[in-house]
Amino acid sequence: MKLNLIIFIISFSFGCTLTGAAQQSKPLGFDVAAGVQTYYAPFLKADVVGLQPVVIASVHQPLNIKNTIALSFRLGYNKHPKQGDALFTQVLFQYNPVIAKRIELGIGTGIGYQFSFYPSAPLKWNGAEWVEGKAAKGVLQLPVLASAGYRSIHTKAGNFTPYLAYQLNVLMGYTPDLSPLPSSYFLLGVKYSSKK
Amino acid sequence: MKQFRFILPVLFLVIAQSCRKDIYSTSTAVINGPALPVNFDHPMKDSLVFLVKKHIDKGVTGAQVMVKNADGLFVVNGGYAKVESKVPFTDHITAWIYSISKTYLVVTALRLKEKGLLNLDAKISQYLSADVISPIANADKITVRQLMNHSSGMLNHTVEPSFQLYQLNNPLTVLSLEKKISFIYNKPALFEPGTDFFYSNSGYTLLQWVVEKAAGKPYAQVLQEEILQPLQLTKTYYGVNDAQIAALGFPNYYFERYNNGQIENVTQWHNTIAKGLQGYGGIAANGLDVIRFMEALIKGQIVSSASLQEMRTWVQGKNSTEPDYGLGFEYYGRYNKTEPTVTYGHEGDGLGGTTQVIYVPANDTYLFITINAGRQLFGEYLFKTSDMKIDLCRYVATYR
Repeated sequence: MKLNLIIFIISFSFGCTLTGAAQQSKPLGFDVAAGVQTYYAPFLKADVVGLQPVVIASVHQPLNIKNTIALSFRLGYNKHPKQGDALFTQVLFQYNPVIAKRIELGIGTGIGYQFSFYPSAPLKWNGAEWVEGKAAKGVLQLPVLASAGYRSIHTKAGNFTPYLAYQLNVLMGYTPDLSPLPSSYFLLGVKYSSKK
Repeated sequence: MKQFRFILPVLFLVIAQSCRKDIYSTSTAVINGPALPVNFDHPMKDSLVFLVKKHIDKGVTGAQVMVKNADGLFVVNGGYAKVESKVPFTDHITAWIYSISKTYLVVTALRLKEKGLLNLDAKISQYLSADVISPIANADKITVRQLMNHSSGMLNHTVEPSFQLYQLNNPLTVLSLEKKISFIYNKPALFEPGTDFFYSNSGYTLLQWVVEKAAGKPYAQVLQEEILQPLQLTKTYYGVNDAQIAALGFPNYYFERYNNGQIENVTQWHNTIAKGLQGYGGIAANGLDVIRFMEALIKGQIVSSASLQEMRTWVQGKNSTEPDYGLGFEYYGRYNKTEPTVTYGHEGDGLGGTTQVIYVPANDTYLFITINAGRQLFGEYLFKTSDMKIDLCRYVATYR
């Protein structure tokens, strides 16, 4: 079931990306971002504490001529020594209107899948003795993204847009006591979009 | 797709690094003291040994069970105190007793009441300053007794999402009581004081402060003077520090993080939380000391029979699925489907452990259970540890 979901997400996102590229001949965009993660949601009045590093790499397929709607396939890693690292993949539909010619705002939402690792070696009872358990659990993500960038660097090959983003990932099924579990990313990134 | 050629090796390295071992493990001593005065011919022996083995064989990490009645004391140790090194439970372990500590806090309050230092029906505003209680809804209407029987309508910080997220982000930070209580500040009350029941660790946080104000001393000193010293409970500890954790024979503690039947060693995280529980859950003890405390309480050696009767005046929540509650006692009357089996005492739960102490009036028996695997609201280990406790309590409650 979980494996099927992963295959679905990856296949769906690559399929959409490649299909879009073939149909519209719009060049793919690329994006790298780094920042900090914390278990937090603004509406819970929680404290922003215990920040941990997170990195994300994305491929964007523009879906319109103005380049304001895109489908993104994202791959990321959240290092968390105390609660376990997370490797995740996400598919986001993003809307990026440009105001004042250079300021690129963005909102996005989609679906993701996260491998939540254990911070320590897990143990499992096999009916006779304790043995080492599986290293991770698959968790469904519901990500929501808001960003603001500045189309500031133009080269012959393409444009670079540094941006700031806040992403809230609602983790479904992490644990019964904390489900859904909000995990927030505060990101600084740069998008690259080719002119060719 | 060239970009993935460098991303994938980086991811591989990060993942490989993530496979670390036992980040929360901590070194603790194994205590082997003189033999306890156990009756090896105790009539409950075979059944208790059977029940403990039954649940250990189902995957409960480790447990200690003690019973005491007219036939004497009997102790069953099953499973492992430290699973990784296969160290068994021993008679002399020290274990966190979590919310069983509330019974001790209530008894100190009742002792102060009997000395004329505390009025249970007074408003808590008589004992606590405005800056403490003014951000708490209805705090000006709440009485000391309503804190004690969880009828204040006060929220419980330990089930507030903001508190749980804080602990997840800061697993090795001991939170002060002031910080904990702030998680319920400026939020509406659940109901008007005295009209319903809701179990609140925040209420017992305030109760600790009331006791300290009434006694004019820190709670640690009140506890020593009112209970531990008079009863000579030398294996009961409050304000436990890291040196004591290393030396007193604590087990490891295990937590089922993902509700998938797998556990992990969270001893250091668990102990950090337990150290911060203070009056509402911060006592650690050997099980025999817990039974001696209960026995002295029931036999009227700590508080008067009138005070004991107040402890056994039960409050029932309108829609609560939790046990009825007195003053620092939980009432369990449903271990037998055909007729009520009156027992009372208290449960306690932590991140990586669970405990229970009960007294059964019908056969004058005391039972203490400690298990070093944590429970969750709906997780597999909730059922494993709860089933074990229910089985043991049912057996002792119906034994004739």
